[in-house]
Amino acid sequence: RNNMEGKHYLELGKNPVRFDPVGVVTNVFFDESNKMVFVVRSGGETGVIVKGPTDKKSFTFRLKDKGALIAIKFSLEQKVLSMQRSEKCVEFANFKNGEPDRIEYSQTCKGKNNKILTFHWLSPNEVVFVTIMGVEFYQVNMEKRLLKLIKGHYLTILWATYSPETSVLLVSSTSNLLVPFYFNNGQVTRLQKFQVELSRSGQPKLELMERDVTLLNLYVLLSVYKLPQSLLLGVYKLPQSLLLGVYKLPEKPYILQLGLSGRFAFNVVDNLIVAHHQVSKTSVVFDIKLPGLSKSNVLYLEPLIAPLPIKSFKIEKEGVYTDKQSQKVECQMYPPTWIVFQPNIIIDACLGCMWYLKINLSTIVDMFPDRCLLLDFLILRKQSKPTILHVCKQALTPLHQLPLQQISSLLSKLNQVARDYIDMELSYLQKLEAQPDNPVLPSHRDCVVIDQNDMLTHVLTPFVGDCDVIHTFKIAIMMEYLKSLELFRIKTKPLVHELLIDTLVQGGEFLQLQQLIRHRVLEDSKRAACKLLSLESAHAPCSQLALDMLKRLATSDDEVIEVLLSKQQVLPALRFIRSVGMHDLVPARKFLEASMHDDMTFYSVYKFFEARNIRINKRPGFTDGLLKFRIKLHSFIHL
Amino acid sequence: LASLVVYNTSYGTKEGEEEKKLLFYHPKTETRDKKVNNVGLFEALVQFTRSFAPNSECETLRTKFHQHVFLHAEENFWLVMKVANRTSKAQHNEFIAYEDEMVDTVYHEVLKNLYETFRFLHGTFTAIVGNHGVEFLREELDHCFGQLMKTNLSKCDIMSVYNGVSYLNLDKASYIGFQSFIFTLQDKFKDVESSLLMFNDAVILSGLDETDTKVIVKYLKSKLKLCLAYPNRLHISISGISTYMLTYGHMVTSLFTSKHTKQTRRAFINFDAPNSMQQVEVILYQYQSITACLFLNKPSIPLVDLAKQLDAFMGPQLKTLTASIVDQQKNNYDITEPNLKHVYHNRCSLSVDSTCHVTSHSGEVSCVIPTDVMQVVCDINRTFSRSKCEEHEVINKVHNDHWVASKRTNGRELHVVVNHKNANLSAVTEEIKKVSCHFNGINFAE
Repeated sequence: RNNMEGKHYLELGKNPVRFDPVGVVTNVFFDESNKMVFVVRSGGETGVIVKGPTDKKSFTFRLKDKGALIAIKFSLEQKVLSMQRSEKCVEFANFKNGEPDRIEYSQTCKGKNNKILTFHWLSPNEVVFVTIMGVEFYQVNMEKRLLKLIKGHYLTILWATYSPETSVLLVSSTSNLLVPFYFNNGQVTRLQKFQVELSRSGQPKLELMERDVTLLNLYVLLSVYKLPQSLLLGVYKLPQSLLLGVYKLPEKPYILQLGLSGRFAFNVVDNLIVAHHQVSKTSVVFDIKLPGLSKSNVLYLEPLIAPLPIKSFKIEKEGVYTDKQSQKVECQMYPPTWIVFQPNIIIDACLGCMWYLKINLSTIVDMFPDRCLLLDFLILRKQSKPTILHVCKQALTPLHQLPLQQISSLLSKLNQVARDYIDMELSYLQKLEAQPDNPVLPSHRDCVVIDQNDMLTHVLTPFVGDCDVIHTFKIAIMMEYLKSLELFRIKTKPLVHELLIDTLVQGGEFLQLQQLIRHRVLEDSKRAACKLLSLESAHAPCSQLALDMLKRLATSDDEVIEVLLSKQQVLPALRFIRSVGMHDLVPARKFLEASMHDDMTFYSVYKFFEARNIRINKRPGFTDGLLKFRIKLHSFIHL
Repeated sequence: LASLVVYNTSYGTKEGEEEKKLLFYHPKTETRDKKVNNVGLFEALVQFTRSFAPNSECETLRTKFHQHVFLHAEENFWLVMKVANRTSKAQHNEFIAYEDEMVDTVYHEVLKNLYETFRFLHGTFTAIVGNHGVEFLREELDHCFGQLMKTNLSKCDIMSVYNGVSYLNLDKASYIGFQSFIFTLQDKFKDVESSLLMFNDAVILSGLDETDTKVIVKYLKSKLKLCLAYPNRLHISISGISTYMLTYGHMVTSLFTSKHTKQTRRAFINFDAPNSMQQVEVILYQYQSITACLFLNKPSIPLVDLAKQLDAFMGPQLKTLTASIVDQQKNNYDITEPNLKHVYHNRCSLSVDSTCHVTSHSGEVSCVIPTDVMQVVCDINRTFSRSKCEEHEVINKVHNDHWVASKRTNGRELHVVVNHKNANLSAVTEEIKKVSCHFNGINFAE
């Protein structure tokens, strides 16, 4: 682990969204649904700058200062601007042509003594208020400038957390009772509540706080909770069957072993849970799909890699210019001013920076001691194809070479993925045929698939060409690859076969080559046959193999004739054309020319075609072009 | 077998030192003068025939009572085998005299095989002389040929000419399975350089070239029957073959032992590639019907220890792989018609297949068709081989209701023997088709 010093695999995105930092007259708000930062100067009187989701996108408008803002958010697609200035009421203004409508309208939460905890936009015209007394779901009528309550669910709410990507709201009621709500197509569904078991019997009851719970959206929607004094992170899997209308009670299938106590903040990068620990200024990552220790239906996961800091970041110091060049200053990492949002946003409001957290796959490669685990990890990542190919290539190079059994399991992992992809693609296409206007996009198309072309171009061909590798190992690898393809019932591409032939020939393993063709490991193809023909000079039996292959193919009768004639085996060629029923179709000239070397053969061939002429044209003669053969025939008959 | 002689023409060139030329002489009881005279005669024969065909060498000499077969094994080294004519008693019968003539190709192959087996076990004559001196070679020959000469010449026929290997027919998946198994083994045990895997008499796969494979398989087949008959005993020793029991299978020791040198389990492979003859050590491992011949280059640990490690690795894997073979063999079982027999040979892969021969439980191979029919087959083969043409097809009627149809094409040779009373040509042709359809690329009467 010492050699990990100074290494990083997590880094902040290159082009952060820069904005004016929080100051005396400046307030900063973050709109999670739209991923926008609102910089409000003097309550909006001197302008509101909206930036995000990227640094290039920004616009400005003015607001009347009507008091301190608690929250400011856009509806989806920035149709309506909403502002909360009091505990009971949210104000709205239609947003058009880059500025808010002068006429504002507002909505107060239902019930006396009620307080709005937070509100979230679900669509361009749907908004939900979370109040201490319940969840209120409103529709916004922009023309009439009013809101209509669609549905209210009433229960005591202490706090709530919302995931914009999945439209799931998790509210906490009394005594650690959590209730999920799901919004879809103008409907609110209240899902079955569940209780988080925090304290063991006999210990004082612990209260779950808002900051302890995060909704993470990775492979499935997860709710994680972390208590400050605990080393463990509890993970609840929220029902993924929501969309199907089937609902199961949330499970608690995972516990992540953080290894450190204290406060953590969580991000999700590429389906990985990233846990930032502020005190030690390090982060750890977990992948819930990778194996862990299973204890009574709960999977205990360890961090994939020892805690490491995020790579340091330099920003241009604003306002300070020396020699026209902007000065770059190293940012403080893991300061208390960092706020983390889902999925991978880190905001430093005091610095005026919003970053997207990224994972660097090429540096993470060397941090995994176990190559198989590494491959499992990479297969689950997006855009990991180049890295996977690099890992495969490395596994074969002499210095880093892995034992064959391990390589074999690496290949199997890749082909398993390829097989799954084929299966899913097939079933998708079937579904598409049944319902051509099925709008559900196949999720499997996002997965990384290493197909035979990738393996050939990036791994196998360079490997076979490597002079430092011994031949037996090359052949062994090719065999392992074929075995793995066969195991997963993936049809081998002709190019793979050709490469195997090359490999065998390179090593002079002709007996192997013969045996592989005999057992149909090397499948028949015209290209393979041509390859074998070209090898005849190196190893004579190759021509037998090639000829057999061509005959079996049954689509390359012309090639068979060419091969036989080129060896002056005219009579076998004639027998062959007769056996395939081509004897009335082939031109006589080729055969006659090829038999010129031997009078006896020539005579037989001549008579063969004469007989054919009689059968077809009712006379023995050839066309004028073949006169010279007639002359030859007479020349030796007269002798 | 009347006599077997090995000599070197470059030794003892001075008058009176002719005995030095002799490296091996069987029978030993022959007088010194006779030995020297015979060698002189052989040398003279070779020289004399050379004047007729400068580019080829004398291969065989037939006299009224004997046949001599010559093999120029290595530079200056000659092997000569003298066989008494079987039919010398019935020399007045012209037909049998004809029958006798064809077996010279058989004897030539037998002699060649004898030499190749020696070379596999001990290395080339030249190398032995270079490393250990002439006297050592004499002793080795004495010891080794004495054992190898036990071949029953009367049982040699077309199979000796083909001298091929029968390969096991497997489906794609099992074949790849075996390949992968061997490669993994060689990767795990770096000492193992190459391997040969057999199922009973048939080769599953071989990491060696055709020639080596052929010699080793032949040698193993002749020896292994003995130990397979008693597979479950610990440290048994039958006819000089001892086995060493391991957890799963057993190791056959002593097959590659030279008593003379006390060096154990050596063999020499890779003769065909120039300058790459290799001395290797051999572990012969058996698990049920599988025999694995592993060739090791300077192993780093004692062979017995290595064998134990190998056993732990191979045993469980072979168990599943063998099961797959046994399954397939059941399905593959081919019911052949009793009146239809064949011999098949592919010159390119050296593979052979015969229904004219049966193997008894004791490992004896015997021919089930009449001897004279088999000799017709041998004769046709010789005719084919001596012709310049690559394609042949011939149908013969042998006197006793047997027909032999032979075809050679594209490196393959197939002889079909039909026993059919009062058959005519077209009926026989129909019969032949039943056999030839099993063989890829061979069609009679096209």
